[in-house]
Amino acid sequence: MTQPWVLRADPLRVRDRLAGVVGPGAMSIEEGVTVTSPTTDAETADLLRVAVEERWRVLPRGAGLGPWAFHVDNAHDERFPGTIEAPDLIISSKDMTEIVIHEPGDLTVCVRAGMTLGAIQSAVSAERQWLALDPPGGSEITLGGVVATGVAGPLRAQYGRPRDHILGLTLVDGKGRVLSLGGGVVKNVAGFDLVRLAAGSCGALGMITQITLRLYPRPEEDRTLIWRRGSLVSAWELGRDLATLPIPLGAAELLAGGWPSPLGGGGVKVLLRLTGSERAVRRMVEIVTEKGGAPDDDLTGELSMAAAHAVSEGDGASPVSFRLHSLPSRSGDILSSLQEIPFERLSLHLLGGTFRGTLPGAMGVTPLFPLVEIVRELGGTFSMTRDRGNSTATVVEVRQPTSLPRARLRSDIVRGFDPSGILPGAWREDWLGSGAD
Amino acid sequence: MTVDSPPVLEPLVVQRLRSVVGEDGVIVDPNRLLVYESDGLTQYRCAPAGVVLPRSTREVSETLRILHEEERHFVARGAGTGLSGGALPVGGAVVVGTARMNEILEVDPPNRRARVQPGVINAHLTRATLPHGLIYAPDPSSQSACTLGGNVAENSGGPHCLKYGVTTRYVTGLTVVLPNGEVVVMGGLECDDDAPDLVGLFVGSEGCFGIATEIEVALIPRSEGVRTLLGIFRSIEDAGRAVSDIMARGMLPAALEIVDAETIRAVEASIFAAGYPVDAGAALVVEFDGVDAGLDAEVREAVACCEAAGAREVRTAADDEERSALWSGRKKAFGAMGRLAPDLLVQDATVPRTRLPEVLGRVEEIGERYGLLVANVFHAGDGNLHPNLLFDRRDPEVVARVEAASKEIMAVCIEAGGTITGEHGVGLDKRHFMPLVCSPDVLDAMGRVKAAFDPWGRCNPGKVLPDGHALEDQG
Repeated sequence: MTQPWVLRADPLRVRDRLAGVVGPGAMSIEEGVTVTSPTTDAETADLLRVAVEERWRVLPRGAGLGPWAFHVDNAHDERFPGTIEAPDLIISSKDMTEIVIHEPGDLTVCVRAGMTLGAIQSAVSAERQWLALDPPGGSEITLGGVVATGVAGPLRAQYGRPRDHILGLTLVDGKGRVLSLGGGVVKNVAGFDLVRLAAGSCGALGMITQITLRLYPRPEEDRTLIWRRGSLVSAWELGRDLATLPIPLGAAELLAGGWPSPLGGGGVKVLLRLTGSERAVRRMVEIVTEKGGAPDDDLTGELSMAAAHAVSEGDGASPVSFRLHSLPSRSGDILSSLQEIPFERLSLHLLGGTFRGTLPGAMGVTPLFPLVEIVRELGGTFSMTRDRGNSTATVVEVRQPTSLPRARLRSDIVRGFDPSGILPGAWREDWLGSGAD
Repeated sequence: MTVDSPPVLEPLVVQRLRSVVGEDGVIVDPNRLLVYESDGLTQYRCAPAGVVLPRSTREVSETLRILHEEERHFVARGAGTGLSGGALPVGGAVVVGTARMNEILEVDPPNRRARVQPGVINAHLTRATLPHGLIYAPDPSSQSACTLGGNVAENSGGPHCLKYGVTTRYVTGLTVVLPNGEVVVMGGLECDDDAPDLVGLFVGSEGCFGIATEIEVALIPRSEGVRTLLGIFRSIEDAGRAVSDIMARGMLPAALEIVDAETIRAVEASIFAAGYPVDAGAALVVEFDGVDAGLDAEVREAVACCEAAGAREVRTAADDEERSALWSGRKKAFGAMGRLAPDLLVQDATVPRTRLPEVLGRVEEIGERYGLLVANVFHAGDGNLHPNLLFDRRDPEVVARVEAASKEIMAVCIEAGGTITGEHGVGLDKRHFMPLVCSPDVLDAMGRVKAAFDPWGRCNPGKVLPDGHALEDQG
């Protein structure tokens, strides 16, 4: 799908044109790449139209803070084939930061895509409501980035992935068209579900500028129980038993290695988050302690939320990280193999079968290579990512085999939104298929 | 109304199809085709050119390949319970029915998933998973008849979707046969790296992209406890206030359903009588589920909300039998309406919950102005309205009034910030409303997505997209 970008436009002239759209104050240069920060849909559309006319490759981006954010990418390593090309233009949503409307009675909020998760939570908490999302990267990442990458955190066990929270969104596509998709109501099947198509599409269809979300009542009780075990295997056995109890778990994670406070301390941890009415949570605690014994830590309220935040932060950017997904029933076998790997931190989403881990930067990705074979043998997906400050590259992947009709389908769908091939789905061959979680 | 008359399926084509699905797998007898001339929206009728009943992905693939080579349009059909004319075989299309693809392929408790063929009936899936303590959450009102394939096509909802979400949240993987017979595997719990999200795109595509032949769904644990209560109100506005109060207090019931006065009277006069007072203005069914210990407190709080909103009586179910009785007035409402008029147009629109009282008042006013009986049964918790227009289709003048009133109701819902369909789909019935909620650019984008799956325009023609936005309209 790589475009033959033979003739490059004069960067200075193009930058002048872009500055004419957003003003010079909304422009900067990062490692030779032009970064613009529009505030309106019209500005975003104009930027994309200029990019089409000038044949500039565009990278949509949030704040550029998330572990899978759309970074400038010059990664090259002799051990791995291929050098990933850099974009000519980054369009950042970081200056789109306001709440458009919060309807507490309808449990919905409409925000601009550059608003951070922390700012949204803070705004809706006044009405005892919350956005039940805790993706990797902490509270400073933007909602637009979360929606575009589709990454989810532990709360997906009960509340689903980002796409399950979105009622509608505005997408400025690769033609510069402003598409208002979905709506503001919780049930809507009017036409094909382009909201789901855009969510998790990693910017391949365009720039997401505005999102309407479903909110939930803030749980009366929020409690995190932590058990510590001496080995991965014993923690896994406990985690498996607890996660499959027939109760609605907010989150169920296995954590190994060093984690931020309040998840510090030794041992391999099994973490359960229980949310709901005070009575229901008390009963769930009885049920889980009957199965797993008394927990080593019992965090409530703000501390429980701090623990969730620590998981989110700990799963964030790191010099070397990996993500491995397989069926939950295979997690035990995979964990056995992971005992040999000198990871810094490791998390396992017990109900979903997704592992995330980090290695010390000096080790590089070599210690992770055995995982490639394990995933090929057991089935699943795997990716390793190197991060060099503002540069992230996915270096090795095992993906679902793609049949020709499926590849054609994806390509034709993307082309419908980006016929000029300015967006990363067209010019980065590794782009699609690595973001969803 | 009859949409058009079908061209006959040529004997040679019939022979080719029978070589794939067997002699009894192809229906061309005009009398037997009558069964397929309509779906749950009986205003529209149109017999297909033929019906093919494959048993497997391979047979669907070969069937579609033959139809593609013969340049025939086709329409996938599950149980035919859809309410938007989505399975209507317009333009002499061939119906590809999934009735013989009714096998539950796998129930996988450790991974909380199941794989099914598209003809499996919704309620049968939960029946198969219950012994493992698991359920399939989406529960459309027609769940004892509707199929999983139809649910995928329509992104079906149901009373308990207030808490659990609609079909799209639970479909994790699909095997799809494209209109030219190619087979595409999408998503799956094992390999969750499908970006863009083809599974999410396919769910709710109303049979316009291809035919799902295997469906992988996520299962959830069965709730430890369930509590149901029924509030009897003097007016529908009072019931609406109780709904707002319950939600405002931060509770999240599994279901919040309102039945209005007309419907109560119809139910009580029918064999489905549920013991609702016939002089009531509205009834509100509230259900909580989850960990047993917390439920009684939630019921007490909900009862207080009902009483504060002026409920004249609140009944709580003590056991499963009483629970079924409280629900029966809601669940049998559509069946009971047959007593009021020979025909029923079930409308479906969603509005922000806070706008419900105002919108209901305007719907009532529209019904009065057009001299039509309108009965409301709806999912109040998520603002999903179902105004039911009762009429006799043998009177063309009444049919015209029904159509005009229906259009006005849609306009009112859109004006209130809502949409034209919450769970029934656009189908044939509402495609002319699509420009009211989608800009020309969005309709164009949808048309291009459709063309990526079906560049030939073979698959369920004349549905979802209005004239000028679908490939078949563009020549």
